[in-house]
Amino acid sequence: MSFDIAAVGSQIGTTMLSSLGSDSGKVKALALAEGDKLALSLAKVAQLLAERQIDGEEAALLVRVQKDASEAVLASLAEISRVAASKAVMLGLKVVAGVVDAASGVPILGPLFAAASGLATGLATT
Amino acid sequence: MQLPLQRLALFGPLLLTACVMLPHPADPQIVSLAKAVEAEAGTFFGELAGKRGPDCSFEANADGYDRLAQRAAALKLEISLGHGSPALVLASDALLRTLVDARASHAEASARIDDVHGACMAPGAIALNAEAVARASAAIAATQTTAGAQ
Repeated sequence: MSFDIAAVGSQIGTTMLSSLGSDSGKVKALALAEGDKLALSLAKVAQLLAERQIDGEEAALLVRVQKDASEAVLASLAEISRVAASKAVMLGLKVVAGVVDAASGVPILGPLFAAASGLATGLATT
Repeated sequence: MQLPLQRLALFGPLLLTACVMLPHPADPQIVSLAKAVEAEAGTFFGELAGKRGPDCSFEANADGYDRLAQRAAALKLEISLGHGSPALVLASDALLRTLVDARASHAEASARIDDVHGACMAPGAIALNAEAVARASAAIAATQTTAGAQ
């Protein structure tokens, strides 16, 4: 089972753009391009999983690498702060998590949000 | 009449805000350091993809990840010393995290030897990490090129 890469890319891109709340053409182009790149990367990770070339834990780490890179790309624009870039990428991935995890058969995006949630809980209790 | 300290208290935060908001001039050194990370990553991951066991293991390549991290740290230092915008400081942090997680994914792959690749990382996974590091470092270099640096 696979997912529609173009549709997922578009969903990630538009969600990131909406989260960033910028009407700059440069930001729009970059957010949409990053959405497409993330979708392609997620499809590749899902394919590697399906072919049993990697396992679920490796997949989750590879997804984190992609998330980090997208944050770097978005943060490099002066218009976007770290919090906004980080939040936008997480929201973009969250909106497609159900589709991507179901298609992969293994939760490759789920662990990302579990880790973020654990971190938030840890910070709240300290 | 205001005392100097009172003036500083009043205008200090305004000056600080102005400094943060002013566009930073392009810094060719940032371009050079960011491109060095991109080039080093291209060479490192390219060679890694062609290696067989035991040369492909994480242990055998840990020094390559160290070199990449050193280059990224030098980039962050240049940016943090005031030659880049606050946004760029954060972007360089994200680049460092990209490298840390790429390193961790290789360590994880090498720890699992019951798959078809043994201690090696799957070629597709190497390609994904290479592309991620390249696009993160290229984005930082591009901000300076846009600002006028060559």
